[in-house]
Amino acid sequence: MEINKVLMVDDDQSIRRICQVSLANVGKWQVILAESGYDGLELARKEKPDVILLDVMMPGMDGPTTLLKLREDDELKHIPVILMTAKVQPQEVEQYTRLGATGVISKPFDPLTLPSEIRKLLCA
Amino acid sequence: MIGNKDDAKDSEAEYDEALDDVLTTLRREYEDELPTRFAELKEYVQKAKDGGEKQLEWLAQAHTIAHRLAGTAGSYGLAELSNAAGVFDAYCKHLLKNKAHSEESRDAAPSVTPLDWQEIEAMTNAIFESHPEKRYSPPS
Repeated sequence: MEINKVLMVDDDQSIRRICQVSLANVGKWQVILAESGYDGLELARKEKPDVILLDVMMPGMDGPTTLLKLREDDELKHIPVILMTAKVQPQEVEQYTRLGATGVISKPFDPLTLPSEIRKLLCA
Repeated sequence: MIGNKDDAKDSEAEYDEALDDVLTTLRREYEDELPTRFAELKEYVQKAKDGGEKQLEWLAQAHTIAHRLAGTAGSYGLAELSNAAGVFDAYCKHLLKNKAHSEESRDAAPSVTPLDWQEIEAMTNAIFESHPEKRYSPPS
């Protein structure tokens, strides 16, 4: 699938910063940033990204809850969602996949290879 | 044609160099923020250790900081810090999960034991010591 626009949702500014550089400079994609699940849902409705990267552990609405809301929304449920989390366990990957995630990327990630990891998950 | 190929290579090399510069700048900025994060971590661990009604809340805050460090530091090339924070992250995650489970099942909630605190303090110090270039001396 072709990727033009990516929405990245993470409450940690340091991760948003390095993700933006990676996705824009290495992936050559347009990057939209959100710092909470609530903002992520709003921006997803407005911007209709090709893929959403979603942090798992966020205050307020966490990643899995945001994922469920995306999957309940007729206009957004087709958008692939990749969850991102530190020290992910295999059973957590299964759990997130059951919730409707396209895949999981473990943090930390290499900013030089993050876009290719995303492409691989979308092609799997 | 050869000239064009060389031009393309040159441009790619320049581009890689430019990206390297951006990543180096981002890493420096991140490193500059670390003392603040370390101080916050130390503060929340101390508050949790002091006990009281909010003990678990403070521990959860410390856990959040360690979880972020674990996920972020490695992406900035600070693998040792990321690993040290990951150990703290996993330990606290397990501890907080057990506490929540005990409260849900209405068992007597086990307190955080002295051994837990010893472990947590050792793991906190490992985080501080994992970044020798900007070694952080936590306030005593």
